Amino acid sequence: MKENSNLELNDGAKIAVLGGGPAGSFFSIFALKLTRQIGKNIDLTIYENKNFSHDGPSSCNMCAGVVSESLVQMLAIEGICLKPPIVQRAIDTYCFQTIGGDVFLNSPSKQRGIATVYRGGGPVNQAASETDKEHVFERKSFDDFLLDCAEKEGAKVENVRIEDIKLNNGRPIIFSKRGQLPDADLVVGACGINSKIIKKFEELGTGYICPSTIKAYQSEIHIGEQNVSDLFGNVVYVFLINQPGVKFAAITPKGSYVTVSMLGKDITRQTVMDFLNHPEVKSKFPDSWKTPDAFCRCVPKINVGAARHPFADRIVMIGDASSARLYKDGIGSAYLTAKAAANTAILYGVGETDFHKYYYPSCRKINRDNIFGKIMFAFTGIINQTPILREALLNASRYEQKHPESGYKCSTILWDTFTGNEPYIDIFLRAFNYKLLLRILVNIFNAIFIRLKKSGDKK
Amino acid sequence: MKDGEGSLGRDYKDGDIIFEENSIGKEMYIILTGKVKVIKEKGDVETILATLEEGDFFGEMSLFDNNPRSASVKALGNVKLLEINQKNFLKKISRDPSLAFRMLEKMSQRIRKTDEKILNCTVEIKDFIEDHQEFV
Ligand SMILES: Cc1cc2nc3c(=O)[nH]c(=O)nc-3n(C[C@H](O)[C@H](O)[C@H](O)COP(=O)(O)OP(=O)(O)OC[C@H]3O[C@@H](n4cnc5c(N)ncnc54)[C@H](O)[C@@H]3O)c2cc1C
Repeated sequence: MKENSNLELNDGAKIAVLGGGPAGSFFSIFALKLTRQIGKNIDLTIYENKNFSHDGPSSCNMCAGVVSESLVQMLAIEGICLKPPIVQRAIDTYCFQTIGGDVFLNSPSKQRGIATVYRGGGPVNQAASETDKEHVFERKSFDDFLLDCAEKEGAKVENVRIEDIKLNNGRPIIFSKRGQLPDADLVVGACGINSKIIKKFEELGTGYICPSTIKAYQSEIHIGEQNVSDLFGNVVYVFLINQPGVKFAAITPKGSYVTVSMLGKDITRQTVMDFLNHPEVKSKFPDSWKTPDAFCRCVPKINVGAARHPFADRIVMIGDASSARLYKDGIGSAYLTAKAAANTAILYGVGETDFHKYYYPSCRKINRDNIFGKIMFAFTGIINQTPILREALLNASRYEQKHPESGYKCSTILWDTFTGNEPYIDIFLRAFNYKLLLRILVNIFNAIFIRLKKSGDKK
Repeated sequence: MKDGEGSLGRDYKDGDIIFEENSIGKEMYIILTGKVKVIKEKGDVETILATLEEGDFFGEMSLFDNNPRSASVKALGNVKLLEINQKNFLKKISRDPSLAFRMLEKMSQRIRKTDEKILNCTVEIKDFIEDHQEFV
């Protein structure tokens, strides 16, 4: 890495934020707040091509829309309070459904701490418009709300697609269809991983390589507000039902819809239909309910590996375009990376060395934590496919929920892993608690004993 | 949607006591909707120290100094509060110290306001003493 000269943002410096998803908005909010705090001024423009107030995938940043409890709290401390109609449902329980039974885990904080939100204007209402006469459930996009917050802090928002980025004498210049856009002292790459522009950043030759990704499948199923309340309430369902090719599936309640998110290899519409028709899943829906032929769906990419070298002189990549926590709390990672980048740019400088020294440690922390995440999810896979282990874990968690005085050791590990509430390393270390291991061991022996007894009885 | 299903945190009704002066507490609260009053009670006399609104926080002092609550807090109308416990809060601050910026800003503003109030009181007392010198 070259030793650069002092690249500091002067009073009135121009910042171009490429993308108005969570990462772009968070960066703008924190950069503008901080500059004001130190008595400076910046001219910050967010370029975003989507209009989040429209329905459907083309106006949406395609995700399950679960805002982790940890992020809800951090945002509240920052003065960004999430409320209806941004919050579609407040969650206090997770249900883990396996083929061997289920367990309901209540939030350790004993409050409705997790928010479910829409990232765009909401699903395209194909089924509801014909069959359902109920009023349209009031909703506001989370991404739109964050953009509003950024605008209130002083950001300009332009509804423009950025087509290209080039370097001219070490300065980045960006282009829309209409031509070159005003010069910027810093370009922030907050474009996520679902757009072609990310490849243009790679082509700059700064050493940036975009993160590795896999495809995920999302569907919004309309079942009506009353059914969502009665059948799902404030519970997110996680399914570990060994469906071929499916690593993980979840149903998240929102307004009058539920969001079905699936991760795995080559998930198609048929995989989703098979999932919805699986007895464990079907039992969650109304008796008379039939899987609709048409529903709002999308196949976004999910970040599963860190970007390389997400910074250069006057360029910094944040959010999904940089580092994100494995499978969980991507919006929380966008918050962390955006804030670290904003602090670096405003307090230290916008040179490669500044970002390496003050910004990159936040990315590295996420990347290292993901190693433990991979181990945790590999364990979950093994447990899910080993009936005795699965039974032992479910029983241990059920026991803890019934007997809080015994401590929520197993439950909090499951809770934190699937809600993304804590860093994976913390969860990993907690998993080696001897009391917890003993509790699981007892339950394993129990499960073996019951099996032996059953087979003895049969003989 | 049933009441509360879309709202984060906990609900309090008008007059509910969120915490009492001198109680031990390990939580801070952020107001999501509604208002609360911070009060000191002496006998039957209730003195309102402050009225807090949406986005404001309270109860943070005990998180830092581990002392009992310095005042009571009551709901003014229906209130929704997000509760953050001490351990979680300190963990968050240790991971990202800049999270404390807004709190420090608000706390500084509160100290300034208190300073102003003390100054005004001091001036009033001084004036009062000067006006009633002969009685003193
Ligand atoms: C199936 C799935 C489920 C998920 N579920 C969750 C979840 O429940 N909770 C959670 O926390 N995370 C979840 N995530 C992860 C989460 O969606 C991302 O981590 C998060 O959106 C990253 O934010 P970002 O701002 O970096 O990127 P994005 O949200 O992708 O935002 C990038 C923005 O840049 C804009 N943009 C891109 N290119 C251009 C261009 N050329 N010109 C102008 N604008 C442009 C886009 O329109 C977009 O608005 C999920 C992801 C997937 C795939």
